[in-house]
Amino acid sequence: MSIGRSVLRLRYTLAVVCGLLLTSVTAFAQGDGIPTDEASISAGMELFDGNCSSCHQVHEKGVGPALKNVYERRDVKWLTSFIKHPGKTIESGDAYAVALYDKFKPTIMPNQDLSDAEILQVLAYVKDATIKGPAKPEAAADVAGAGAAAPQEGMVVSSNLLVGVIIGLLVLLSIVLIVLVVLANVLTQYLKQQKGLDENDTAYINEKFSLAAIFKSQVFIGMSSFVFVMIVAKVTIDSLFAVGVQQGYAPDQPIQFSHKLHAGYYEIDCKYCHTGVEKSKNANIPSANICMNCHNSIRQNSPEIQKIYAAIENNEPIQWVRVHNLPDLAYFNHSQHVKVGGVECQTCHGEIEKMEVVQQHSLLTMGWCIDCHRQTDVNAKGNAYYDKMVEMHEATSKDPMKVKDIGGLECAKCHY
Amino acid sequence: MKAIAIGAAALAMTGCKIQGDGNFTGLEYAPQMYHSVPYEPLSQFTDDDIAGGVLEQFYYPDFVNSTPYNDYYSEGKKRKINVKDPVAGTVKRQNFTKVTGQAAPTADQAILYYMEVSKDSLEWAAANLKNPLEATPAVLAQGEHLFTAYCMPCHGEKGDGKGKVGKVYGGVANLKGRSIKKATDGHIFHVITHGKGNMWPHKSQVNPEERWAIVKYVRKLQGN
Repeated sequence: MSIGRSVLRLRYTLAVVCGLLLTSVTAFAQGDGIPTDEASISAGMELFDGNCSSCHQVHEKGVGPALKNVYERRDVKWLTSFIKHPGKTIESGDAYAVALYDKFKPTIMPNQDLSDAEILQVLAYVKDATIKGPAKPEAAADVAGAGAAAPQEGMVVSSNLLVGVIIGLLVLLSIVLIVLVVLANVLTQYLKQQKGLDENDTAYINEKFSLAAIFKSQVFIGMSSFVFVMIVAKVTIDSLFAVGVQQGYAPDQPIQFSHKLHAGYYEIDCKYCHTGVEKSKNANIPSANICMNCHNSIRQNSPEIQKIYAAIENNEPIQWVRVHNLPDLAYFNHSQHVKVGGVECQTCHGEIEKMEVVQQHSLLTMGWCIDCHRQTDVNAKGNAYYDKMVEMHEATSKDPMKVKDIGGLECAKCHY
Repeated sequence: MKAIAIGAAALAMTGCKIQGDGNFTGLEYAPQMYHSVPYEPLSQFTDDDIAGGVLEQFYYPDFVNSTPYNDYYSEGKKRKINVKDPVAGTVKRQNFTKVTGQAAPTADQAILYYMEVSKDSLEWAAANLKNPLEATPAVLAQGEHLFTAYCMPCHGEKGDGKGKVGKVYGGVANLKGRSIKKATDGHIFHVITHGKGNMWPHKSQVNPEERWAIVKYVRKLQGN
C-alpha cells in the first residue's frame, strides 16, 4: 500500500514537473496574457466555485465541457466574449460556438456577469488546475474507509475492556477462595492437635464431606425442583409473550440498500427519501425517481443500482419487503409523532444510520407504546393548539404535561 | 415422571423459533389481525408467503387476496405489491386547466399547481412567478428545516455547493454564487421543481409551498 502510494506520488510529481516544463515553454511561446500569480489564481478559484462549478469541471465533462486546456483551444478574446454572451456568440454563427452548441444542446450556457479582469482570473485558475492535473481520488476513499472503520474500533475496545474487567474479578475471587480454603485447613489441623475438646468440636473435626448425602437431602431436592419449575415457567411465559412480536426481523431486501452509507456516512436526512413522514400516516418508501436524483450518475454500473434502472424501464415497482408492520387493529400516524410530537426517528427505529440491513428495533407492542406515552412530555411549546390544555393541566398538577394527560392512554385513541 | 414431562415441554418451547430474526418475522398467532383486509398502502402479503408453512391451516385460503382493494396481482402480472396506477380517466390536479377550459394557468395559479408549467419555461417562471411568502421567522425556520433535509446533502449546510453527496455527485451549484444571487425567486422555484443542469427534479419531494419557503431560506443564506 505504502509503496504503491509513494510510486503514485512519484508519478504525480513527475507529471507536475513535466507539466510545468511544458507550460513554461508554451506560455513563453504564446504569451496568452493569462496571469499566473497566486492572488489571481485564488481569486479565480473563488469565482469558478461561485459561478462555473455547477456546470463545469476542469478535468471532467459536467453539464458543459471540461475546461482543461481551454486557453489553448481558443484565445482569451474569444473566451471573454463567449463567457459574457454565449447565446449571442452562437447566434452570430461562429463555427466553434455552433459546434459546441450542437454537442450540448438544448442547454445553452447563460450569460455570465463577469468583468474582463475576472474572466482572466478564472482562466488563471483553470490554467493552474490544468497544469496541476486531476486531484488524487485515493484521498476520498481514505476518508470513506476511516469513517466506516472508526466506530467499529470503538466497539472492539469497549468490549475488550469489559472482558478484561470480568477476568480480573474472577481471578481475584478465586484467589480469595483459595486463601479461605487454606485458612480452614490450617485451623482444622490446629484444632486436631488440641486436647480436651468438647463433643461438638470433635464432631466437627471428624466430619466427612459426603456429596451423595447432600443430593439425597430433602432440602436439596426441594430447592432444585423449585428452581427448575421457576425456570420452566419463566421460559414458557417469555416465549408466549414473544409470539406476534417481530422484534429483530431483518429480511433480505430486493436491493441491498445500506442505511449506514446513505443516512450514516453521507448524512442524508431521513425525509429526503421518506417524504411522507411529516405529512401522512405512512413514512413512505421512496419511489425510484428519488433514487435517481443521485444515482443518475453515481455508481451507475453497480449491479444493485442496475436493479433501479430495470425497475424504471419495466415500469415495475421495486418489491421492498415491509419490516415494520403494526397489526391492523392499531392506528399509528407518523406525522402526528414526528411533526407535531417532535419524536426522533431513532427513538422507535433504533440507530438506523448504523444499520447495513434494517431490522425491527422496537417491540411495537401495546405495552411499549403505552410506556412511552406515560413518560413523554407533550411537545407543546410554540403550538397554540395546546395552550389551553397546558393551562388547565398546570392548574391541577405540578408535573409537566405528559401524553397520558391528554388522552394518550385512551383505548379509542389507537383502536377504532 | 412429571418433572420429565415439564422438562420436555420446556425444551420444546425453547427449541421452537418464536423471536423474529433475519427473514423470519417471528411466530404469529392469529395472523388475520396482522395483515390488513382493507386497503393498506405498502403492504404486500400474499398467500404465497404462507403456503406450505406450519400455520397454513390457520389462514383462510382466500382471505389474504380476497378483497378487491388489495389486488396484488394487477395487470395480469405477478406484481407482489399494491402500488397502483390511478383509475383510467383521472385528471391530475395540476392539469386543472383541462377542466376550467383555460389556455394556460395564470401566474398565481401556477404557484400552486406548478407541474403544469413545463421544464423548459424557466425564463417565463423567472419573470412571472412571485414568492407568495414573507420572510417571517416561521417561514425561515421551515425553510431551514426543509433545506437541511432536501438540499444540504449536495448544496452543503451553507449553500456553498460543498455537501458530502455533492462532492461525489459533482457539478453542484454554489447557491451563494453571483448568478444565483441575481436569479429571481421564480427561477429558483422552477429549478427546485424541474431541476437544471445536473440537478434532477425535486417536485415529488417538496410541495410548492415548501419550495417557496426553501427559496426564502436560500435568500437568507445568500445574505439578502
